[in-house]
Amino acid sequence: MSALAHLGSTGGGAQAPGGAAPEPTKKGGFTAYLLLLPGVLWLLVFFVAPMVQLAAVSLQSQFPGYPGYYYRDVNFGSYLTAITEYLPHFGRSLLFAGAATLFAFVLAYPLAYAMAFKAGKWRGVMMICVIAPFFTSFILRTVAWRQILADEGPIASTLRFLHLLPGGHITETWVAVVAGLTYNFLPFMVLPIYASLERADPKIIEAGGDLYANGLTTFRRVTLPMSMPGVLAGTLLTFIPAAGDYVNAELLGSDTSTKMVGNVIESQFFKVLGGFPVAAALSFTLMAVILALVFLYVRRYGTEELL
Amino acid sequence: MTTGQRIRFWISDHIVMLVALFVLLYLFLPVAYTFAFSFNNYKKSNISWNPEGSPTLDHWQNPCGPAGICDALTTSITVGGIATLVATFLGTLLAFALVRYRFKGRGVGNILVFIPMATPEIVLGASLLTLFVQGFSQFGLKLGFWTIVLAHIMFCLSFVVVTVKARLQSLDPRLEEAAADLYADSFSSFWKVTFPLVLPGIVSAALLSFSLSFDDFIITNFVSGDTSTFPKYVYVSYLRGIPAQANVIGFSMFVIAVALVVLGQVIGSRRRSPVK
Amino acid sequence: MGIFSKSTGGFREAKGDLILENVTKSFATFTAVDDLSLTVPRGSFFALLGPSGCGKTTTLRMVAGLEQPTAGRVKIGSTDLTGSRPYERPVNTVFQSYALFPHLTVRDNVAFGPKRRGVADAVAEANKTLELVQLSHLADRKPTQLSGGQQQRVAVARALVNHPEVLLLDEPLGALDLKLRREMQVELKRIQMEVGLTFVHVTHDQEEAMTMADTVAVMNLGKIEQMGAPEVLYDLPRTKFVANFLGQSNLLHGTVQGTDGDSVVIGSGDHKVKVRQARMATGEGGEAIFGVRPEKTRIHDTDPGPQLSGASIGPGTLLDVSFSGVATQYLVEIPGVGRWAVYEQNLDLDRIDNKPGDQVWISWNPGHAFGVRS
Ligand SMILES: Nc1ncnc2c1ncn2[C@@H]1O[C@H](COP(=O)(O)OP(=O)(O)OP(=O)(O)O)[C@@H](O)[C@H]1O
Ligand SMILES: [Mg+2]
Repeated sequence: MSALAHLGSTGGGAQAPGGAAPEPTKKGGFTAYLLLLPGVLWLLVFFVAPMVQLAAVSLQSQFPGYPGYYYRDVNFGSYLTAITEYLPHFGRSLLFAGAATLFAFVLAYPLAYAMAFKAGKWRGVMMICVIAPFFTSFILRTVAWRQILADEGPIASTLRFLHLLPGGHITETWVAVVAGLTYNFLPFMVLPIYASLERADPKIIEAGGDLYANGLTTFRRVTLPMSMPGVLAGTLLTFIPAAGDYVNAELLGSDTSTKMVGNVIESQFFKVLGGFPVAAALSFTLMAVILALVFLYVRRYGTEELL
Repeated sequence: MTTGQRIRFWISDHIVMLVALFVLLYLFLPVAYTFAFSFNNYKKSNISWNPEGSPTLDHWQNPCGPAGICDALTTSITVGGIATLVATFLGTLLAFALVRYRFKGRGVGNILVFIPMATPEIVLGASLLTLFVQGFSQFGLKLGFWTIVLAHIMFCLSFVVVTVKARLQSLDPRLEEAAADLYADSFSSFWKVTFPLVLPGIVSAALLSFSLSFDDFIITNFVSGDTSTFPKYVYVSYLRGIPAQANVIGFSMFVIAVALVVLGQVIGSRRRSPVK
Repeated sequence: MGIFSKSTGGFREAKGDLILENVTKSFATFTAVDDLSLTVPRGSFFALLGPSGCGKTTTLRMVAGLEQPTAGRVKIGSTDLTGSRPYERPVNTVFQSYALFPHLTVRDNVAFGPKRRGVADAVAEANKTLELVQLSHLADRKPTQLSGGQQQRVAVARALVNHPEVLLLDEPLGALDLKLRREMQVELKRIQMEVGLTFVHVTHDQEEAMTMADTVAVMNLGKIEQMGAPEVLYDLPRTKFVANFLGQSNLLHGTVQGTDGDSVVIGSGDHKVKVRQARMATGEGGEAIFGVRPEKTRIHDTDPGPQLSGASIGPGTLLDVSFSGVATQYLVEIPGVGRWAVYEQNLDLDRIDNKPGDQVWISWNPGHAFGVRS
């Protein structure tokens, strides 16, 4: 099940032997459009149309005095509310997702490296180990973390005993939320990095070892640049879902101080009467922020092959 | 080689593997927890270990005990199956078009496929909900099983395209030329050479689709109405207390997935090795 | 990829020589093959030799039908193949990187062609051909489980099994080490004699081309510079490029200064050398390049005198002497001419007393000199 491994190529990885991925040579408007038609239609109806609809909702105005009733309008008030009232939530979303991405990278790289260069015949087994937890269900595992990190659980008790836990809790704090995010999206970091390392020629790394006596220099100058497409894909695949997540903050965080944008969107949609426009505005703002960050990031580190 | 060097080499040789094993352990910890607590003879909620009567096989003998849990599981598997089939088919066609042909709008096509992956699930879920509620309800489409399927196909599609595209791009174009040189017209060149070589990518894409769909909660929660999937069941029952049967099912799915993959690999490697 | 289009044209039976008529292939801004015409006699071993990027692969691809010429025609005998699809041509290719199908066994790789053509006993044909290349024992393996040399032989078998009228080999030995290369050269030559097909063999190894081929064509910048039997090409190059590409040549750039009997006199500064009329590639007058092969020359401590006038040059300064047992190689700087090399077989041992810095003269048998266009 090397499925996810292919995601490494989001960063422009997989290539035909002998250099750059070949540009398609076949001109064939008709066949191409025929092949594209159903998929593109699907994306237009179930991705583009909903986005347009959501945009319309975010601009709606409420009938004064009738909460839950809106009329079509071009009113940016909801965006104002979204940004002014929920700025801390945006901050937390980006901060937590950024931290989780960083931690996931630190954990994922050695694992991916070991799988690619050290594991030998154990490679397949390690790959299964990375993916299989998906099937236990994300929610169930997050709940398990809540119990493992709970106040009376083994980790918190030990730390308390050693006086290393100033607040007395792990759950209900941002530490637990970031830990949960890191955990849940780790496989999305491991597999693309693994895929790009696996394609790299170990001989090049050996050559690097000849050139730079220091292992760390070899890593920084040779190994890391070679796996950059995978790192790029991995950080995107970790950061984006983490920034939009609300389950970890819901299950591992506190009622107030660790809520992320996702929590607000969810509750505006489901729990607040008349919350639709604000929820829609929040969604769009979140998406805009993420797309802007992705754009900057890809421009800084990536290749155009990403697309 | 000095002793100092030797130690450094040993460390640099093994430390990576040690760290890797530690990370794997970290990945498995909650799975192990889930497994352990499937044997807990708990009273009110399955949170703390009850030494009395534990471990017990009660929950394993009666996995469908709690109302709705197996319906939710069936829904998850059915949704996953349908979404995987459709997304894999549509995504494979898209990947072929995008990799193999030059045509007007190819860039736009690539972006259209990429953006859903760069959109947080909550935004996808929210937008689909508004569409289904405000747009599709006029046509009599109620939130439920089919809206989940439609949504899952959408978000799996991009992942399929990326996976199959990678495989197609790594395909040596000379193989198809060789086929043409060996009297294969474009029809048999496709079915005898291209397709079998891309098939592993398509299978990977399908497996990825199924895992993503099966484990999805956020989008499902938005578009499912009263219908429950397994992750949604667990989330909803969280406040009341998750029954240990959820642990049983969650762990079993994990084991089944591992077993199927191992089986697949064994069969795959047997086919690859020489007959003799 | 045209999944939906079934083949329309039919397979073309064609027999005879392979003929390229004024074939040109231009890519967007670049002409890879430029107005090329050649005829490869049926059943011959033809080598296309040239530096990297000169258009060899492009030429082969046009013969195979993988590329269509921008202008010109490709024929076998009287059948015009221009415009037909690869699978309609009685031509098969051994690809530069073999391009074996990784998902099929060796046997299925070889049986691929016959099966597509609906040959009744495709597998039996495949087995027979595998025997020819001595690979029967590996028939059930996948290509990745073979060594480079074995893969190469599978590629040959996969093409041969179709009994094509013309077999194209694009640097089939390029990926092999020197020893295996030599073995495979012998092997390929044996196979060609056995099956008697037209082989068009692309290489940039001149030794390979000369030992294997009946006819060698030297290609440069999309054009054929010269074509002929290897020994003729070597003995009498008609262009400067061929003189330097095929073996090594000592050259003198000069002008034609007249004739002396049946010889042409070429002069440059104080030096005057003669070339037989018949061995001159240029007409009367104008610029010309005189050439002679290093192994056709001898070295002298003293001026060999007027009896060798026109077949000697000097004095020059000896730059380097390298002794290799059977032969000695001298490198001589001749003022106003350049560096010349001399290979002398060590027939008389008392001659090796020359030291770098000595003044020396070089002479040759006038019948070995040649003149080419500049
Ligand atoms: N599809 C193409 N588009 C543009 N230029 C091309 C294309 N194919 C080949 N060329 C150019 O045409 C020239 C001839 O290429 P060709 O592959 O025929 O060389 P070659 O003689 O086979 O070289 P080598 O010995 O390195 O294989 C090269 O300069 C190459 O860059
Ligand atoms: Mg070539």
